[in-house]
Amino acid sequence: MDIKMLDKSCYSEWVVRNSLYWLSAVSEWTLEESDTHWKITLIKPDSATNQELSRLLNDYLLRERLMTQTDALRSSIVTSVLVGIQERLTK
Amino acid sequence: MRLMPFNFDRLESGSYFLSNMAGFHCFLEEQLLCELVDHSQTSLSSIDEKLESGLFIAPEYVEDASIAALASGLAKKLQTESIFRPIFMIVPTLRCDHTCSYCQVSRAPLNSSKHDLIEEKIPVIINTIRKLGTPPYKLEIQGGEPLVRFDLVQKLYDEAAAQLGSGNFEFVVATSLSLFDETILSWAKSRDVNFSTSLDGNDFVHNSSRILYGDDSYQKVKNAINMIQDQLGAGKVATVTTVTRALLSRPETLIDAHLEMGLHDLFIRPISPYGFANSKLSDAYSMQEYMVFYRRLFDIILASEQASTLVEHSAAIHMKRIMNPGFSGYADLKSPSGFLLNSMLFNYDGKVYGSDEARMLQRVLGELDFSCGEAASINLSDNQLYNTILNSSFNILHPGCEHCAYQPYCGSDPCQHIASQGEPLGDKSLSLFCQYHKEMFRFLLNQFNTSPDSRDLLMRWCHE
Repeated sequence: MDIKMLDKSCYSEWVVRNSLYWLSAVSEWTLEESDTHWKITLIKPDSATNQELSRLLNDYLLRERLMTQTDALRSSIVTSVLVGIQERLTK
Repeated sequence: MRLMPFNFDRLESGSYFLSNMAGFHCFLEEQLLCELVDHSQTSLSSIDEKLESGLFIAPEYVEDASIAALASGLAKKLQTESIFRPIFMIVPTLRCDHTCSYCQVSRAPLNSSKHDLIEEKIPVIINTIRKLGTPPYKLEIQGGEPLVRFDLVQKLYDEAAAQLGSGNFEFVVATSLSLFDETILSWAKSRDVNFSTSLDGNDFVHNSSRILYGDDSYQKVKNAINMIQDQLGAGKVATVTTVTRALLSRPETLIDAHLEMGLHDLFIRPISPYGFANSKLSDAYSMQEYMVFYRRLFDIILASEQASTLVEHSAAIHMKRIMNPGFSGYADLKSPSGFLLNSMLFNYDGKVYGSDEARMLQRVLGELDFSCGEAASINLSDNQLYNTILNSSFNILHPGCEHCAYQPYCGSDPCQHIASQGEPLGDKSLSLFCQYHKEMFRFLLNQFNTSPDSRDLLMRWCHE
């Protein structure tokens, strides 16, 4: 087993949980939290698992920054799609 | 500049593949992706121009227009992929002379008296197809081994000609070709009939999974393919290869077997996790093992003297989804899924299913009814299961897919997830469907982006 402590001020719950979702294919894991840290226990503590977790965390940090800037736009696009289809149906 | 929403994935080379909900894509190096996310533009104006034309960024004064363009692209994609244009599969018999180790649909013994279609139902089936489809109707005769009841295959063709009109339908017989003979050849000569068959490798590999007791399945299929090629013409027979454990270490034998029979088109797929295929653990392998095999096969094709004529259609389909907007002819790679929208199956027992996979589920999970009725009494509007399956097949809403760079090109397979995980969405981190398609996209796009020879080959396949 291998324990990773991640500072909550650096890693949001969204980043940690999305990363762990995909890590399930590589290793079993458990997640606990304190006021300041996420505590991840990796059942299969090899270097490949650690590398994969690092890659996932980095990618989801980047995705989180992207989401922060574009989430409202995403909603606007979906709303626009629905309005367009509704207009076609009522013609 | 304003950053527009997109997803990304890191490729093996270290480059990133970006896509947005309208299906536009581009490749970026890591440094440029970080610049893009942090500053809504990169340090290279030539890259920014490409990003702007793909709606990854937009000048603030045209932000509304860019939102409308992305919305229009997404709406068009959803509408295109929601069209009801099925292939009609008909099962004249479940009886089969083979006992293949990976059989996807199960089989019935040759001497069974309970697994044939009742002849009188054929006019009703074709009449239902006429009401549901539009020309050119696509009819695929499945099994078991349909040529066990060649008489019913003939009647299905004649009824289709009478009700749908000659020249208004495509007729494909999916068969092992073990029963193919001069009589069938003579019948097919004067009709527009195509054959789809299995070719799993050379004689050793093919015969180790496709068991024909007391006979040689490989020699039978080879003889029949030669007869069809010689007498009916090239292009009248196509092959599907199910990769077995015996083939994993011998990809070159598959190319050799195809070329020996004058076949230049391959369609390769991993073993399906459905039903009876699940129970043969000796044939099981991981998706990582499959991709090692597939990479070797791709390299062999690339290095082959025949590279300019060979086509591997599973790669072609994945690339077409990315490169050819509007391509949605493959039921597995579309969202909503191809269940019912791209396929309907008329089973030997009179039941109608939304896909071949649904009838497999019926065999394994017999306590549920996966059919939508019988040919003369199909009921879809009140069918809660069909409603749930289709409702669950929009991958844009799936956990695990919503941030995936391949989501606009990928699909969903609710039946496979019901089979493997007991519910239609599935945990994508554990999904074989997700692993297979994501690894195919990753491998092919990495090749496309890093190897000029691979790029040329893949672009040619996109136009096949």
